[in-house]
Amino acid sequence: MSDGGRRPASLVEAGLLVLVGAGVLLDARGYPAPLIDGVPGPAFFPGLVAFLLIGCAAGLALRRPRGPAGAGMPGGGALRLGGAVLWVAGFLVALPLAGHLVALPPLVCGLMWLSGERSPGILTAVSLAFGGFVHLLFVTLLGVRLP
Amino acid sequence: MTGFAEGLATALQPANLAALLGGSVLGVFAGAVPGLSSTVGLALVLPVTFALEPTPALLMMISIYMAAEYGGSITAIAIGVPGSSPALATTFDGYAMTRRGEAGRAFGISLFASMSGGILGTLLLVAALGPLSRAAIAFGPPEYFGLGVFGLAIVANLVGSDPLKGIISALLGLLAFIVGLDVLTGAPRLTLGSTMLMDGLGLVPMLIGFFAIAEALNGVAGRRAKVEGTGSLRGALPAFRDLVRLWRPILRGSAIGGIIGAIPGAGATIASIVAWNEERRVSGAPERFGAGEPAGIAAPEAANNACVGAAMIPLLALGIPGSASAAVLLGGLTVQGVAPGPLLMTEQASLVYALYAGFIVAVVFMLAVGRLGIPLWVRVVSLRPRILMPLVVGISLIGAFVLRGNLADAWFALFFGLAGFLMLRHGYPLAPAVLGLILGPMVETNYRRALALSSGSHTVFLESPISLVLLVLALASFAAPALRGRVRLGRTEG
Repeated sequence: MSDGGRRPASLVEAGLLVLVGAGVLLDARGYPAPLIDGVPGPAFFPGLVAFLLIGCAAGLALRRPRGPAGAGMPGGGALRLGGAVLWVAGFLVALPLAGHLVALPPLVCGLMWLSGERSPGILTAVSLAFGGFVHLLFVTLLGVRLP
Repeated sequence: MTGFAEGLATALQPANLAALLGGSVLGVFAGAVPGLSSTVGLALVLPVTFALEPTPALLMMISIYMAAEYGGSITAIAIGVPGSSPALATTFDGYAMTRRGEAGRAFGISLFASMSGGILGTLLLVAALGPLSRAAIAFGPPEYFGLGVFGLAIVANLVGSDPLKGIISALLGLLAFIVGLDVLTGAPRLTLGSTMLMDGLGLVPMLIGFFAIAEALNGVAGRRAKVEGTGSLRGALPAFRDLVRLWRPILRGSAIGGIIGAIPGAGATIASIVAWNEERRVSGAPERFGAGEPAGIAAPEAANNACVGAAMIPLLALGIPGSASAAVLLGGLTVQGVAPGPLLMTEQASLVYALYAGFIVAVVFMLAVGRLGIPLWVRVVSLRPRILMPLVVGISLIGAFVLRGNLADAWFALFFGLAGFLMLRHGYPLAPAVLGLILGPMVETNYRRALALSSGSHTVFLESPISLVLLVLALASFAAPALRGRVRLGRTEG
């Protein structure tokens, strides 16, 4: 990818880092003052890290872009990625409601499908076996309480 | 010597052997599952030990502790996901060896180094219980600050080809540690008013997110690194030439683990990262580290197992737990009516000798369980990634929940997974961020504590010889890569 193509990516990264740094500085304004004069309070370290982050962001924006920034994903990769993140998030929502025995097999099955596994036999058998394995291991053998 | 022989005879009784073997199996498992660790393994088994006699109960616990430190390397080497945080450094070279088809050799090196580190750490415990425990308590805030800064300076060697992005990654890790309540004042920081964030983001969710979920997302997006087969099992134990090459890294790693492990609060994670970095520094070929260098497995694995024996020094001599796992062990000792402290050696010498001998037997069982398990670990590596990675995500999310019984940790793991995926995609290395999260609390808290004790005078960091040496070493460690680069450039131009 050309420098021209990577420049906007570097600027977006630098902009995000400046936003994070500024957010930290803003949040740190509300922290209590130091308990002892001359000794840094709770705002000192976050402020220092935020300033360094903003400094690094400036360096990132000003230098010549390098590295793999902006490299594309294979066809449909972004869609599968978004699907996987939503699938895991759905699992975390379902876990306390449905319990691990019900929620785990669909999680594994969905992620295997998104990763490219298409055999119905493998999808079903591995997902169900995994749910049973986790139950046996954590609940039966180790006595851990799972949702 | 008579005392040790009596201790060995006690450890070799059938009930005690069974406890040590059971502990080894459980420990390897607890270490290998991302999210679990020696601490969680010990906590899970603690109620079981209530029903046992003191000796088998404590032998089972030390066996879990020892084996879990080795177990963490299994997933680190097999799939690039550290089973527990002390195995982070093993990931750098272990997974690189797996990717080029040398998984069996990597597992063997890890097992041999763990065994050697475990034995050397135990010998250190036997030899130095008294003097080292006194030295360990000489560590105050300035010394801990020096140790933390020295650890952070290692970032200079983890930044990869783009130092600026490596430093940004470390700063993001430092920011991640700030989230939660300030340790010294209790003020909420970066919590956005959410009670879920009050406890902080935590190291385990970051490890699971960065190394398990980000890797699975890479697979889903079609960008997972190719694994070149698993290699021959003939290499499951190191070849003679490996042993000859690796004895120095193992000795150095064990020494670093022995020293850092004895310092309360420093822990096996810092020891293994420092050992990896020191090995890289003295190797003469630092560019090979991170690309599958056997010494990059041997040194950190020896260090984290040497920490086990060393962590027992302040625990047994002073009643001060040197690590979270040692704190659970202290709970086990207390439940069994054993009071650690200066009088332990005189009042319960037979139990102490049984523990010494138990450590050695635990190492032998760890070797046996580990060696028998290598074919299984190699089979795991050979599973198709599209089947393996979803299983890793499932068990990691459950592991993240089990650690504190809190579903928020599983959400944090997902957050770190997505962040890790994006960071890798844009060329930001992940290891510096993990280092920032691990060392941030040590640096900030002890900096402020030291200044509070010295009424704000920064000379406190220079007055302590230990702190001064550590800060100079940090400066040297930070400057070394740049200086090496200049020397190389000068030679090329010359």
